[in-house]
Amino acid sequence: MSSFDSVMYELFCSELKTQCRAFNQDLLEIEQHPEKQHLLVSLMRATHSIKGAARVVNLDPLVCLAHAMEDCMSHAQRSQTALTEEKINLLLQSSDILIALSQNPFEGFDNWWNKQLPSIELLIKQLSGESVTEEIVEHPPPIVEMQESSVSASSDYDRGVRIAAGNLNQLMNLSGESLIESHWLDPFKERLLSDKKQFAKIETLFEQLKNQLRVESCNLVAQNCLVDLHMQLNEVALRLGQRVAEMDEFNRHHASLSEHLYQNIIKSRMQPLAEGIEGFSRMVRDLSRKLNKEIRLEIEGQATLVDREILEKLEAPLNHLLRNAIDHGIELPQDRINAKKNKEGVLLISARHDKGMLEITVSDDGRGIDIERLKNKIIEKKMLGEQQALALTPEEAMDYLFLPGFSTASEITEVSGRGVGLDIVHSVVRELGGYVKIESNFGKGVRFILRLPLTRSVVQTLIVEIAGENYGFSLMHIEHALITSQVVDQTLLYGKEQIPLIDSWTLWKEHPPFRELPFCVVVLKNQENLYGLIVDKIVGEKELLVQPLDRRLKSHSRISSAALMEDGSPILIFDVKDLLKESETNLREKKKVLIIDDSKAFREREYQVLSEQGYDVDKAIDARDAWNALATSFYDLIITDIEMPGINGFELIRKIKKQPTLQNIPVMIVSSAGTERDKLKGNEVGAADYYVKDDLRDGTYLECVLKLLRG
Amino acid sequence: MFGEVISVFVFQLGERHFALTSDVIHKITSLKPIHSIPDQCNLILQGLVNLDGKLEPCIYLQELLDPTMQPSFHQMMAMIQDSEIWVFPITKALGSYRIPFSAFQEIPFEFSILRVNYIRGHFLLDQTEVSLLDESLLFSALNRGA
Repeated sequence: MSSFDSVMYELFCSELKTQCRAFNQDLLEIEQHPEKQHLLVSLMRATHSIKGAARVVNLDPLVCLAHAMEDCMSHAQRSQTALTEEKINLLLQSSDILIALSQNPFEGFDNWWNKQLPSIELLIKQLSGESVTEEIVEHPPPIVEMQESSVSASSDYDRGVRIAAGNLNQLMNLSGESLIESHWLDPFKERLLSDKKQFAKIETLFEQLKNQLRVESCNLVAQNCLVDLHMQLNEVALRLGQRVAEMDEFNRHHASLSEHLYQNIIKSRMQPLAEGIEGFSRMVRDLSRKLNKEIRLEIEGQATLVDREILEKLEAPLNHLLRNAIDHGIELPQDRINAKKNKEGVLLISARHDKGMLEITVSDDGRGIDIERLKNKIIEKKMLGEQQALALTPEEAMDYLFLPGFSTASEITEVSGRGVGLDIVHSVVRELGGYVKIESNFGKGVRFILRLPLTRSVVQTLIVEIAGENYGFSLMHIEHALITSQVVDQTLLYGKEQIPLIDSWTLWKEHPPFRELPFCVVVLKNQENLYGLIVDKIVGEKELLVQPLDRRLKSHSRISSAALMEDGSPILIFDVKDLLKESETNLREKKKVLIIDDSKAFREREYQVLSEQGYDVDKAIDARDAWNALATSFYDLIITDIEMPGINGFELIRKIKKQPTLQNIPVMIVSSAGTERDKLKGNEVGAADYYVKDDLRDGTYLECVLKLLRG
Repeated sequence: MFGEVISVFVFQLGERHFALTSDVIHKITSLKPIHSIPDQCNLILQGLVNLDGKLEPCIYLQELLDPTMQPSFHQMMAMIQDSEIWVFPITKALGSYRIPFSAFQEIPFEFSILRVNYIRGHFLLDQTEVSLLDESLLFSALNRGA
């Protein structure tokens, strides 16, 4: 059993992750380039660190495993031979176990350890199989000096720390607010300067007064007063000038600090692309071997900074694209030779920042997309008529690849072919606020180009005014913003096109105000379609730090997020896709249910079960809360517990049945008390059904609910 | 119960005085701009306000308590439960007070008439009647989207 605490365990796992990451990278590199013998040193360094860390937490089998791994490298170094494929596979398997351990939660460690121990012991034997040592002989540490307490990190600057996403978001909000508050100082300084000018006028007036008065005709007291007053005025004028200068200095410094804080916190959300795709080299290697192909993965722009959230969400789509390329794109070695290509196929992931956006390209030098075959598939699936399909441009045809279930694969393999992967790529990229494009050269390869915002936190926005309030659009979806008179009926003449024109007020079901030409119009782009939206005013462009809408605000179909303007006032950001949905979705008339239970856990469970069935559910914590709810809303069904603080469920039902407006609403009792006497009493007070508290998902509960709602 | 006190925060909405237990009071602040949320706002939920850099829902508390009130607003108050904040404009914040339980006149919940009630009881503060609100009922109603 483990002899360490959770803190120690977490430190150990963090060390494992760091070392295994470096180990895998170098191992795959040396496999590709056996001549890079110097990599053996860094491999040994990594295993040496792992061994030391395992010693600290007293996991002797891991000490032996790390030592066996180290032995392999040492043997290769001494004999100046390349690591065999068999050894590399064993080393990778060892690394897999270490990575799995580092991802295992502390609570489950003992179970996990007992299960994995046989595999660890087997790997030790296999790795040691050709080793010349019979006992653990300490290898001299690699060239760089090692610390025995290997749980320390490389440098303080590079060390990572864990911070909850909520805390980071709070930091960002506060730093944004601090920046907004710092902008208050500038106008204050202006007001102070204005007061200083006013004061200068007072001084001038005083001089004039002094000149008018004949000083020699004043008595001594008056003369002294005049002199004092003059001195005081000079002093205050001087001090006022100094205060303004101090304020100015402080303002500059404070504004600069706030800006730095803000920018650094934004940056803390970013991490290099390499950290998000480190598992891909290994995946490509393993999968290509499985399919008897020779494929090399290259990565360009590893240091390109990407928002953490975006990088995390991109892992699955990039994985799909690579697997697709390996399975369907890149040919078998002999086929490649026949096509006069290199035997080894190349997959390339490249990333860069371009015009304020992140561009990630996944390309291969495989067979490319057969557009004619694609069109035939579209016809075969009856997605378009023959003529229409044949008239599609290559780009239009390739768009069909992103549809759910669409695949041109002749067979489904365990790798791909179901037509699921590209659909996921498309929807994830769109969810992140970006888009994906395909470029293909039949016989030569395919490029998938993903364009995304640099960060989800900061969005380049066009600000408009509607009904006296500010709203924003992400620039990604703006084609143009213009003031125009080119309006004919309900359309806008835009270039050679006539595009639909919508008044923004109608989105809120409000009658728009009378408008005179020219109109302020924002031309929005949704896939390939353009729409014009009339707004009251186009304010300008701004970079905004966005926040998601609070979960208490029911999910809004047209608003994606919110942000703060420079003066701290709120602004809502439109979800353009939903805004332009052409078909009106008819909302199913949802049945409204009120659940009353003083147990929060049971209340939430009931809420979940009923919401999943599509009911509109309200919760009440006791009879009084239920009464307030009944006073303000209409319900199709009331479900109540019996045992509650204050008045119990039986009493509540009696009172409901006495109210003319409530007496016809069916009431169902859900209680842990289930004696015949209780059921009889429920019947007496007017309950329509009685359910004894159990697993709500057994079907009986929902059957009762459905029966009562059907009447 | 002798000697037991409750800490409350007293505020004004129009001419009426209300109180909430002090532990649900998060912040008192100056009036801030409210941005409406189209298709979602009702008489109670007015929109969003900026509180320390985060956008929080803003409500008109008087619409829950007494829709006939038309108070003037000079400050804003934020109340908090389970890390969720609700902001509402008030006429004036009067401060925290420790009130002995014996000073309370509890109001029994009225089930004979179907109407909302969020008042737990009354007490006198400098000869002025203050209505102590039941925050559990308030929060529950707000979370329902009252």
